[in-house]
Order: sequence, then C-alpha cells, then structure tokens
Amino acid sequence: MADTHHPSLRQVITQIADQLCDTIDNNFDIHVSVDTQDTEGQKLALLVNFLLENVRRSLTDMQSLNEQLEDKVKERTSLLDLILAGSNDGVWIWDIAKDELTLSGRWYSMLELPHDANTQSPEFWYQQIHPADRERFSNAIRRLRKGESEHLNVEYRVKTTRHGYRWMLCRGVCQKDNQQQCSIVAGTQTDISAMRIFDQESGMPNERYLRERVEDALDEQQPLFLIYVTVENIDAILNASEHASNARLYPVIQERLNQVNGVHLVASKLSAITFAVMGFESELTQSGLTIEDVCQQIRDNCANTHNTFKEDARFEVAVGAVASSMLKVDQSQQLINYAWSALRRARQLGQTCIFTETHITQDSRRIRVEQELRRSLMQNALAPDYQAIYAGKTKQLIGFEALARFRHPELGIVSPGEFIPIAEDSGLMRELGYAILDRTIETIQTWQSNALRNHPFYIAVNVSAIQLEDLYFADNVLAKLEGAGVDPQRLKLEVTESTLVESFKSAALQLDKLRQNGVRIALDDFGTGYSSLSYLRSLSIDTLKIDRSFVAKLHENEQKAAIIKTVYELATQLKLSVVAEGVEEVEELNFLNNIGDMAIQGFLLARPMPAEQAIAQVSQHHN
Amino acid sequence: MIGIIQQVLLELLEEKGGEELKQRVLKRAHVDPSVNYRIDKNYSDDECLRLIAASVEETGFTESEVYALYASAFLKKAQALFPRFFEIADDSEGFLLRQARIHAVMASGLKQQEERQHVNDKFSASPIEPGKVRVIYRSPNGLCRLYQALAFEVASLYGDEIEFDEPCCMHKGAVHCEFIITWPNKRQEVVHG
Ligand code: HEM
Repeated sequence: MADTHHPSLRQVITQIADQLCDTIDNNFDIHVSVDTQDTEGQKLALLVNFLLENVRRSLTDMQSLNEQLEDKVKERTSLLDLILAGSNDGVWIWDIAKDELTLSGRWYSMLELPHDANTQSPEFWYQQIHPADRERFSNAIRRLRKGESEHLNVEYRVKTTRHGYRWMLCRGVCQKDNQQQCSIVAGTQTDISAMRIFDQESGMPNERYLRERVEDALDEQQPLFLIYVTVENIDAILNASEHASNARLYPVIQERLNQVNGVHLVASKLSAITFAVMGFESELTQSGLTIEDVCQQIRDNCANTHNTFKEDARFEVAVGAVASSMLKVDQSQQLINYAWSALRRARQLGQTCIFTETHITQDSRRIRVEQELRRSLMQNALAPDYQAIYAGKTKQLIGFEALARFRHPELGIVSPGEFIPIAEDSGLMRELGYAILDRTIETIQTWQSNALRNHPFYIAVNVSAIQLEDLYFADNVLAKLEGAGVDPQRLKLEVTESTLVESFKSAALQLDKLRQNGVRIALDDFGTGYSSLSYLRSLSIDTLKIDRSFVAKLHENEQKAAIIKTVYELATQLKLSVVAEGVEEVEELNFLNNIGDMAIQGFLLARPMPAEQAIAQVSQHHN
Repeated sequence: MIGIIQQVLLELLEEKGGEELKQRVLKRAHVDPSVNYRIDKNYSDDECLRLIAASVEETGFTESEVYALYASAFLKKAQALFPRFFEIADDSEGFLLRQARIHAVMASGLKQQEERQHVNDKFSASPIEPGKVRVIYRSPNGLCRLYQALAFEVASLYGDEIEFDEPCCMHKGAVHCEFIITWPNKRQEVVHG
C-alpha cells in the first residue's frame, strides 16, 4: 500500500516518535507534522499535538503561578525584613535535624560580634549566655521541643564584647514534621536591658541594674564600693520652684553624683530621694583617692547651688558608703545591706558614714534589739519606770514622770538612747507610745485607789510627733482615761519643742482638745530647742520643764542662773508651773528654791524605778 | 527490568549461535522458551540477571566480552529505535548526560508509579566541569560493568576518547557506584583554547 510518495503508516509513527524525542530536553514547544494522506496517521498527529498543546499550557500556567508565588514570597520577605529592621530584633533559625543555627546580622550586632559565619552550632549560642542563665534557657528550649510549651519565651543575659552582659528576651515557635516532631525552631531575640534596668521616671539605672552590676563585680572578684545618698530636701526644692519637676531635677542630681575626677561612677535611683553610686576600688587606687574623698566630692557637688532651680538652694544630702574589700564581702545582698546601714547612720548623725567592721557588730545588736522590742510590744511586756517629782520647798509629792524602759533577760537594760532611735527607724514609735500610755493609765488607776488614795498626783508621759499626727490621738487618750475611770487631771502629756516643729498644726489641735478636757500639757526640754518663746504664745500649755543642761551646776554658772531666773519669771507671768529636771546636787536644789516655787525632778530626790519600788519609796519618803 | 535489555540479549544470542544457543541460555536461566520481551513492559530483575549469567556460561566468553558484544548490539538497536536521541546530543558527553533522562522516557511506558520511580532512581548524571561528568548509579542489580561497556561504546560511536574512573563501587561495599568520565581532548581545548 505504501508507495514512494506516500509514507506507510509505520513511517508516520516513526516520524511522530522521532519528533517527540526532543521533549527529552524539556522542549515541548514542538509541532508534530506528518506527511501522509492516511486519516489514521493524521488523527494520531492531531491528538499528539493536542497533548503537546495541553502540556505547554499547563507549563505556562505553572510558570506564571510560580512567578506569582515568587513575587509574593519576595514581597513578604521584604516586608518581614522591614518589620524586623524596625523592631530591632535579632532573628534565629535552629534546624534541629542538622543541628545548625542560622542567625541574622542583627543578632550578631546585638552581641557586638562580627557576622562572619553563615551557620553556627547551637553550642555557640549557649556559650554567649550568662552561666547562671544557661539552665533556664536550655530548659525552655527542651520544653518547646517536647511540645510541653507552645511558645518559647525566655529571658537571659548575653555577654557583649564591649558592654558587659545585656538582657535579652528570646521568643520562638517550633515547626513540626509529619511525625509531629519539632524539626525547626525559629524566633527573635529582643534587647530588653533598657526596659529592665532603667527607672522610667528619671531615666537613670534602677536598683535591679545596680544589683546585677554588684553581682557581676563580686563574681569577677573585682573589689567595688557603693555610696548611698539620700537627698533630704527634694520635696522642698520641688515645692519652692515652679520650674522644678522630677523629670528636670533627676538629671541634675545624677550629674552631681557622677562627677568625680579620675573615677568612673554609675549612679542608680533607688527611691524618690535615695540614690546609689557604684565604682571600682581599683580606680580609686589608680587616681590616689580614698572612698572618703569620693564621698566628700559628692557632698561638695551637691552643695553647689548652680542649676538647682532656686537661688541658693542646695541639695542637702546624707552619704553612707561601703567598700567590698574592706569587709571581705562576697555576696551582693550583704554589701547592699551594709550600704543601707551606712546611709541610715549617716542620716541619724548628719555626717558621712563609711561602713566598717564595728558597724557590723552594732548592726547585729540593732537587729536583735528591734526583734525583741517588737516581741515585747506584742506581748505587752513593756513597763515604764516612774520618777517621782516633788515640790522643791515643801518636798511634797506632786507627781511622777513615766519613762520608757526596756529590760530584757538576755540583752539586759537597753537604754532609751539606744532603743528609741531603733523604734523610730522601724516604725514602732506609735505602738511604743501607746504601750507606755496604757501602762501609765493602769498605774494611775492602781495608785489612786490604793497607796495614793487621798493624795493629789499626776503622772507625766512623753508624747512623740508621730503620735500627735494621729487625728484621733486626743479621742483615744480621753477614751482610755474614761475606760479606766481616771480623772484627766491626773495625766500630763509632755511634748518637746522638736516634736512641735515637725507638725505644729496637727499637734496643736490634738493638744488643745486634750487640754480642754482636763489633761495637762507640759513643754519638755525647754530652752534646748528653737524659738521657744513663740511656742509659749501660740500653744496652750500648763507646765514648763527646764532642761537638765540649765540645771547642772547652775550655782556655779551665772549665765545659767540668769536664764533660769528669766524663764521662771516668764512662766509665772504666763501662769505656768515650772519643773526643773536633772537636779542631782543639794546646791542646785537650794539655788532653785531661792528663785521661787518649783517642782523638782532628779536623782537627788528620786531615781526612776519600776512601779512597785517607786510607790514604796514615795511612802518611805513621806514617813 | 524493562524488556528491551533482555530482547537485545536474546537477539544477540540468536545472531551469534542461532535459535539453539538462545534456547540453551533460556533453559539454563529457567525462562519460558516462548518468551517475547516487550520494550514497554517490566520483567523480573532476577530473570534478567540469570539470562546474563547463563549467556556467559553457555557461550564460554568472559563477562566483559559478553558486555562488550552486548553494548555494541544494544546501541545499534537503540540508534535504530531512537535515532533522534543520538542526533540531539552533539557528542558522547552530551549523550551520557542525557542517558538518565532517556531511561526516564523508557520508564514512562510502565503502568505503576513505583516501577517508574525504580527505574528513575538508578542513575543521575551531572556535569562537574566541561569535559568531566559524574554519574551516580545505585541499583540492586549491580551492573556497573555493563555501564562501563556501554559508555565506551557510546564514545566510539561519536568518535570520542574517554577516561573512565570508578572511585567507589557497590561491589566494594559502597552504597552506590560513582563514575567519573573524562574527555581528555575536550579538557585540553578548555585549558589551551
Ligand atoms: C537510547 C539509549 C538507551 C536506552 C533507550 C536505554 C534503555 C534502558 C532501559 C529501558 C533499561 C532498563 C531499566 C530498568 O528497568 O531499570 C536500561 C538499563 C540500563 N542501561 Fe540503558 N539505555 C540507553 C542507553 C544507555 C547507556 C548509554 C548506558 C551507559 C552508558 C546505559 C546503561 C544502562 C545500565 C547499566 C542499565 C542497567 C540498570 C540496572 O538495572 O541496574 N544505558 N537502559
């Protein structure tokens, strides 16, 4: 059938097959043509072309789909890049199977490392982390990989090349393979040092920062010193000037605290008025300075009136300091405690305090006293001593003064000079005041119905400024008196001038109320304090107590004698009674008697004693 | 194994020793004497390996002699069936680079996806540099000697000279065979040209 002009069907098939062989090079852009009259051959060619056409179309579709996808990926990648660049976060990808870590350029620069490797081992990361944080980090990664947590969220410190450790927050998620195994973990790393370690209000480093720096230094066995500074008059400065605001004041303070030549200091803000300055002892040695020098320099800086928002205003500061090498401290908390202790002393003494070995022993005694004082107050085991007060000329008993005493089986007798400041520091003054007052009212109640049944007398009790700040102080006292069936006349409250200075208005209000109800008021320590006369005018009182410092050896000192005479005259004119304190010698008593009628308190006539002894002695005296 | 391999072997036996030799080999290999191998069907690998072994034994030739004869017969047949494959390639390098894909074309005749995959997995060829090709061959049949014979035959078909190196071989415990085929003349062109 096949002739020379018309190829056989077999030849047609070969023609088609041969042409199709080009597809081996992925070339589908071919059109199969056959040179035949045979319809079956033409049909085959036609269908093969149809097939090829479909392949081409599918390929083009796939290609454009691919391009679209690529565009999308590109777009999203650049968007992601933008977001990441904006967020300033480092990016990490951990291929678990390959145990390979890919880190972004930002990741490296956060640690101030060169970006010189495409991939790293996970160990590399681990090594950058602070040894104390490594376990937390690996635990978090393990929990994520085990599926115990959905997200990675862990904070740790990394060592930067130039700036020590910085805090990072690491977040991530894991991608699971078909077996639900974690195959890739990826996420970001954010530098949160600033958030963690800066005080929002002032922009200064905070206590956490200080603590970490101290820990680092002690870990690296680098001796350091801490200087704690309280600016006592921040409120006054703020109130005095319209321009001053916390935000403007803190930078000024920071500057004062940092600037000591030759030593690099970092100041942190611990509270609204207290700051810490940290530095290294090695720098002191290098610049030939002592810690005392640095404290003094800071004091001088603070005394400078420049830029304090108000003319002549200066920062009044208390400065307490401690050096780690002096005390062989190896724990940060300990050093910080010492610094606080030094500052407390400095505030009490009004001068710089450098913490030493001696202070450690004192501190432990202080802590013990505070504990025991607290316990005694709770157990109501605190009882005052009573010192009798007599009329100077007639030697008649007039009354007593209740004096706070702290006797302890192990600590022995703790003097008021020791435990009152401790009570003040630890906020126990109110409680202490009420405890003494309660016991005193009880004592009056006992004595008025027994030993002193037919004898007029009063007991005087000291009142502190804190008690007088209490709006209900007068009401409380009156209620206690009523409850005990004690005539208010029998109670005398003694206030000092310094108590009144602290809160004159509220104190005057309370005292007035008490006085209107019969309680008598004495002004204690008269002559030692401020502009005493103005108080006498504006405060309604009954008694003036002349301080012992005027009484001591007054017969040998004309000036003292003159003062007492004047005070006595003034008092009588104002219709105030007078009590002379601290009378220890007969000559003093005689001298005072010569001036006029006064009540006498002092060792010469009676020492302070526990209630039973005091009343026993009084009876003896009478006899 | 796709039938073309066995078909060429049986035709070669018939050509060299007539129907009688072919039947002896079939018998020795325990293969149905009336077997008719097709180029679009898959047959047992083991059967093919038995036929090759029986051919060596019945002809008294060495294995390499059999492969050499086979290679030339196979390529003659391949050229007749697919002349276009030989035209597309400019030289033996181009052809050997396409060999794995030619196998894939042949595999497309098989019905089952796994069967096709099995064929495709055996070879992968990639250029290292002009005049140097690496071929990875992994197959339980271990026919690297056959590959070598075929490669040399292809080279002589194009009038090329090749160097054949097998840095690792399944017969020596490797997971696959690796062939490095070099065209020394071509490489000189690259270096000097
Ligand atoms: C147009 C040329 C070629 C065709 C059509 C062709 C076709 C085939 C086919 C269909 C198989 C059976 C595959 C299987 O079932 O797994 C095969 C096997 C094989 N071919 Fe080729 N081939 C060609 C060229 C070559 C060349 C040039 C070489 C070597 C340089 C080669 C080496 C081999 C080897 C070694 C096997 C056996 C593989 C095994 O089962 O392990 N072939 N060939």
